[in-house]
Amino acid sequence: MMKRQLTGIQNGDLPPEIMHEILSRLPVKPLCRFKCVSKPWRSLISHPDFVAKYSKVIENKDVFFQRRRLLFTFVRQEHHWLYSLDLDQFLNENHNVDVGGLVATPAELDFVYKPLPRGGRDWIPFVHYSSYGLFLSRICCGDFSFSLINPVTKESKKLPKTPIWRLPMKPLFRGVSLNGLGFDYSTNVYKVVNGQHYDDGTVFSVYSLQTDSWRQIDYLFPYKALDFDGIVVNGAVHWLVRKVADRSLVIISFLLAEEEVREIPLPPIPGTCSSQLGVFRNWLCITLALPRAEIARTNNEFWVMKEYGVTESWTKMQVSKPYKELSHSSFWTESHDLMLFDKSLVMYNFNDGTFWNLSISDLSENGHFGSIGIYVESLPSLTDQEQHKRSKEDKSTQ
Amino acid sequence: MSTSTDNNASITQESGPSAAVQDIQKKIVVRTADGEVFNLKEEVAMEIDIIKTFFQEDSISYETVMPLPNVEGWEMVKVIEYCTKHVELKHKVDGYKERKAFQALFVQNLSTKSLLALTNTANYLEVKYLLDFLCQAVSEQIKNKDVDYVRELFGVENDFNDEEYEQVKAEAPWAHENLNNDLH
Repeated sequence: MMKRQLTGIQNGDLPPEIMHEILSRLPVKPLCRFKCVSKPWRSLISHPDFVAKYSKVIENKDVFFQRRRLLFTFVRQEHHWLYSLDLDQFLNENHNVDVGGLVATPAELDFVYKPLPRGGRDWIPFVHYSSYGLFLSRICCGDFSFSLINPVTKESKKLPKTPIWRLPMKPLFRGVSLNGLGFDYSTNVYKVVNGQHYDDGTVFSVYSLQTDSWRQIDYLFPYKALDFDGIVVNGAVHWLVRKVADRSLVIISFLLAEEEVREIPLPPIPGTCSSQLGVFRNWLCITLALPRAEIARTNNEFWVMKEYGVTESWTKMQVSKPYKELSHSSFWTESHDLMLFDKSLVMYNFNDGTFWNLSISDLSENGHFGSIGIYVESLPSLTDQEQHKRSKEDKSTQ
Repeated sequence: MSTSTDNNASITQESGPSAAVQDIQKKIVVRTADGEVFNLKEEVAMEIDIIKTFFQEDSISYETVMPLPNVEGWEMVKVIEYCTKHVELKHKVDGYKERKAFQALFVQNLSTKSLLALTNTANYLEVKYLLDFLCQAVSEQIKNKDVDYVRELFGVENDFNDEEYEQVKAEAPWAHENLNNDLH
């Protein structure tokens, strides 16, 4: 009987499906590096089926934790700085350590703004989504322009300008529109939603990465936005708006697959408070903001919609640490949620109300956090679109 | 007629005064490529799909010694070790940390090549959760390695010429940097 050797395993010994399994569990960086191993490996790793499988594997919790990163901006002297942090790795390495002295070191993603004129002074980022491989970056430089960026591969794709739909009417706050980036799971396509608003309502259009073009939804939706950055939950982008008819508040939900708009009622919040829409884990969340006159007061409560779309499921939650402004980072573990309480990043335990401050090195007191979200490392997909486009030789972009 | 001989290397063998006095639990016997024979507890043996299928065939008695010509003795030891732990943790409510600690120890003294061999074996024996874990373990071990290491490990020929190689490398230069100091 022939003994199998322990050394020099030939590629032939390992069935291809096992090879694929191993490769699909690698982080993006080594996977892209191993395209150089051989021509068959390069074909495999670039193949759309493999790329699709690679994205799907994050349904496994361990793989998801391995690939997700915290993405956040820090504002200092009117500059926005962009950082990425492997918080899962940091927590794993330090789980036996007293949290009091922990300081995490982020990586600065300066490739995004350094090349810009004036070193990125005009870069106002838009980072508010979860579980996706790309984020939307916005440059305000006379004219607003958007790019989709993959933080790990550093690919970048500038979006064609959103057409102005109701010419000769011009939208209010020219350039500042409603925005949201999401992933349509029914077609596996990234989509950007844009809303131009007017006195009498809002016009939506959708950009699809697949077609590289904008499509207008031919309807004047009777809403005016209070906030411009969309909150992505449950396959839809959400904004807090006022109805044009009676100025009452409501949440609108732009469904990415159907490309339709629905309304979601708010929880019963006191009339004296203004509210802010956010996300708490996988739920829509309303945090409260007190009127200016009561600037000294704080809140201890917020609302989450535990069953998507079901008004009765709005649930009040409490925090032991009072806040003036509260948001969830979209990062959470078995025991803690990473929340931004006013100026501090806090790992909060909702089981017992305990918490600890997350210190991030390099970030001095002379500034504050901008937006926080997470991304999941994903394989190159933007430049592939470019190649696909070029080979087709059509596609007029407006 | 097959006789089952207890092998000293088998970790499922219970130490004790006399085998006759011990457990009434059924044992399943397998023989690996190198002639080693293993007695498995039935509940552990049933975790291994290829064994489960074999004995579920009609008229195969549990006294049959199942041959496993593609499996080495040391591999069988490891598979039994993992499956036994898995069965044990099935009944525990919060076994996450314990599982993680066990997994770390399990791979501690295995070379990457041995891990690969074991992965192949787990696939052959059809133990899905072990296969998943081993694929993950292999990927952990190679994620910071360079292209040459991977070629050698998997026995892959480099079919790029210098120019082609540089071209492919240039598509993602960031992927070849900082191989030992991954911050991201």
